[in-house]
Amino acid sequence: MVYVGTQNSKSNFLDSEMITNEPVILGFEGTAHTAGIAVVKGNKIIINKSATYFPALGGIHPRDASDFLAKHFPKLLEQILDELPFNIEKIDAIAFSRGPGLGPCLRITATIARAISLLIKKPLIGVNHCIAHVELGRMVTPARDPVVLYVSGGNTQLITFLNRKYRILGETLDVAIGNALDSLGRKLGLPHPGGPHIEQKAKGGQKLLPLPYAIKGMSFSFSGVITAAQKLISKYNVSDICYSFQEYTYAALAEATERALSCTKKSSLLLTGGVAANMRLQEMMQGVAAEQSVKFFVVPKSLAGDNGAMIALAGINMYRAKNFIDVKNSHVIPRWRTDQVEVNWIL
Amino acid sequence: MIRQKDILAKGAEAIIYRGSFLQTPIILKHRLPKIYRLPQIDKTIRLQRLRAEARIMVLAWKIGARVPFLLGIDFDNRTLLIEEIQGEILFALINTAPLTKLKSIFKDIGLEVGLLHKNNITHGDLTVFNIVVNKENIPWLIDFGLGQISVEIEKKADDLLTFYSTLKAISSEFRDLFKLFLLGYFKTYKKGKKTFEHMKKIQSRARYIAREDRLE
Repeated sequence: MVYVGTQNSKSNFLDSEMITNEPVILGFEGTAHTAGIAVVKGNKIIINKSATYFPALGGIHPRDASDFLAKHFPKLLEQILDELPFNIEKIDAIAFSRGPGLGPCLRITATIARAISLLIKKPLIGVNHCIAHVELGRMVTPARDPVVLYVSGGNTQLITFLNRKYRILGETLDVAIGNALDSLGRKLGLPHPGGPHIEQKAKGGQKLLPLPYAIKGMSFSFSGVITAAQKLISKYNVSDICYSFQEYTYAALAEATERALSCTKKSSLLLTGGVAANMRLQEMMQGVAAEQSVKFFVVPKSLAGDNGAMIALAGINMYRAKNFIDVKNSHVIPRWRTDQVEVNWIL
Repeated sequence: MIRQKDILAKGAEAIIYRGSFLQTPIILKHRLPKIYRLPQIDKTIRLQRLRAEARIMVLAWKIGARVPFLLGIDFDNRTLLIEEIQGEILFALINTAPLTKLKSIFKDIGLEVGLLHKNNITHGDLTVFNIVVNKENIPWLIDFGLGQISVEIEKKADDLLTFYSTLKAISSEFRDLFKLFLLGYFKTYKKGKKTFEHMKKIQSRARYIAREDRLE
């Protein structure tokens, strides 16, 4: 049983805005559970639509997820084309999430993007999903050259721009924080995705239970914390477990982030990715920024999770740097690491 | 006797003051409370780290590793008094110093880390920010707050992986430099090869490790 959550947003687009020279990009996001399509012009999001797959039982199954994408992309695309305030010819390029992610999902997304690109004869841009989360933050918040804490279901990385590439300063050594929250949620009998439910339950928590504080330099690890929390289930109430789990894991993230800021001497901190919507994590990161006297930015809640707009916005920057790929060389890269991407759009 | 002077650095964990003690330059490392952590967690962590750092510095000094000398502990203020190592942080050197100079530094770092691991001491935060290189190009290890006394291969392998990852993040010569580091490491630590094998195992637990990125 699969049910769908959809999200729609459309801004009031004025004809006069079409006159500016900003490029227009059609972006496709489809790396795991979310089918997202968006149209952006410059840093203005014109339409952003998505549909998200929630497994009724257990975690994400790659085949189910890709079936979901294949079913929803055409519907979303139809809606987008209906609502597009200008002719499709005005689109300058097609951007798609090329990796990292689940292979079957990536291939569905790439196939649609390639087809559109060939159909309307506009260049194709292959976007790294993780970097798109960062670029989104750089486009919609005042952060320009931040230390980035990217927290989501599949990834947890501390990223910053150094020597012409986005470098990973620290990352999870096993599972991502969102994945850890989902996993704990399942063990506690909470629905998927676990994060928002755990956040709610944690508000009623009062007793801090002992859990590991897992930090290794600027990296962190969560699998041991899940196991330790699981052992508490029979003895303590759900709220206290959720509360303690959040406090320990987020404190480790916060400390690693503070180290990254202190080492790189950057002047701003950006929180992005699905788990960025968590208020307790935001609060802690604000504290980190205050400790290191840097500015703190967080992506808006509506854009925190995977969405088409982030791919399209990254596409804008890549379009300006003419970062195109040929359709025949546009194979997907399921294990594409953040630090493997040649970044030619930042000087 | 102790004269406290200006702030030398504000790290993630502590404020470092420069001072003097019987005319020798020292640093005072003061661990501050962190507002973002719950006070219960914060208190335990700061005390744990203060103790760990002091204990490990003394132990490492005893076995002859190049670590600064611990002069004293002020428990009430969560402060350590440590000999000052004058030199540059490795991070600052790595993209400016000539490669031949770096190569010998990296081999020396390997020798030091091997010596620590042989004596079951792990650093816990072995990054290019926690190594000071003095005028004679000799590396000194600093900042043992996350260190542990442990026979566990996992903890030792973590040191190698942390070092490798930060190196990779900032230097394009990371492969060669890490090889030289290992050369030194294997020299002082006979079981070093096993630790290195274990490091690759930890590395493979993470996501998206590209095949060409795995170490041979």
